[in-house]
Amino acid sequence: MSSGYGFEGALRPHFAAAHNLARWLTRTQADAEDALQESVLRAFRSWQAARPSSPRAWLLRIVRNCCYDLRKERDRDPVEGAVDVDAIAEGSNAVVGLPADGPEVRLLRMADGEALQHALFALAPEFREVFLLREIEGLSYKEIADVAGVPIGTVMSRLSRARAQLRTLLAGERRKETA
Amino acid sequence: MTCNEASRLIGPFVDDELDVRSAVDVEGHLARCAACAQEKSEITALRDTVRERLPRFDPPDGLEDRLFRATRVVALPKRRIPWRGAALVAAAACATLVAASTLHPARDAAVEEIVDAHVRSLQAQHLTDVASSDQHTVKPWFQGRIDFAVPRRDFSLRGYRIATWTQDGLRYRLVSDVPASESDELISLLRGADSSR
Repeated sequence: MSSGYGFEGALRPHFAAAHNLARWLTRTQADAEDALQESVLRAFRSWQAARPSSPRAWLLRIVRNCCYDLRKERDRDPVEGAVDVDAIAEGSNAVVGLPADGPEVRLLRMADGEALQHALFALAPEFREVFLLREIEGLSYKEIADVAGVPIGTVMSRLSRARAQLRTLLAGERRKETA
Repeated sequence: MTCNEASRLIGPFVDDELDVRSAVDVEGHLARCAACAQEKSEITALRDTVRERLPRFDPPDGLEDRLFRATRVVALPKRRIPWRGAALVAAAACATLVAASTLHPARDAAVEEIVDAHVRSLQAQHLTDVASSDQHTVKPWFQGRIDFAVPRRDFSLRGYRIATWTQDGLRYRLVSDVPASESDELISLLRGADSSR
């Protein structure tokens, strides 16, 4: 029974984070709950063997994998699955030549929740998850690399491009609105 | 430090992922370069906004308890044999038993499969249940949804009555008639595709 307590005691504090991530990676509540259900069962099965040093990152990794499995299973978003996002030319979304003291900072600070949500869902899931794990869950690059199963260098480039895309999306939309 | 070098390090700088020496270098560059300072301001502005306003999807009430409770059910067969026995007896009582035999020849694997299927059946929100034990309600409801006849079994001898029937595979939700029982016992009857009976 002590092992059962250890499992729940270690993972329950991170359930809200797990739910949030699942929700962002699956889009619907029903899918998120399916992925979470599978995640908790998977976590329970490998808990004894894994004994993770960071239960939070460990759980998020399982959740992340379950969300991708579910996506594959449903054969949804086939384009996203087929495209190697890291191979897309770097310059395609680079923000260059921003004037100093431009309005972008103000625009970014003004963005409302709906605009943020819309922009984040516009990102490829590989970029979305890295950004969320960093800015919302506050994970280190090393932890994000563990969760996403990619090298730290990939984490850095994905994060950088996620930020560039979001900045373009948010500042661009605002500009259109105010024009 | 050039802008080119700095631009790759601004994100890690904001994220506090640089060693002290690199951080000092970047800081020095930011003090001299307006464009890179702007870049840094945008990254922090985006972070602040997201942390302040991005909707957070909080789990619905009860979800956490439900999912974690399921793991205790999974753990049960190893500790409380009667529960496992009950699942198998109930499955056997239904002539259409199938224990995923084609997939799992090993008995323990089959047991695990049954338990897993049962646990999932308790959890999923999107399955359709018909909440009735009246066969005149239940039978028509199933018609057209499944390609086999719903066997009607009398579980009363075992101290159970059928509370609900579920379409997925074929499940009865059995409620113990013994009031001492602290909660409903849910038993899944599984019928596999390879069963002809």
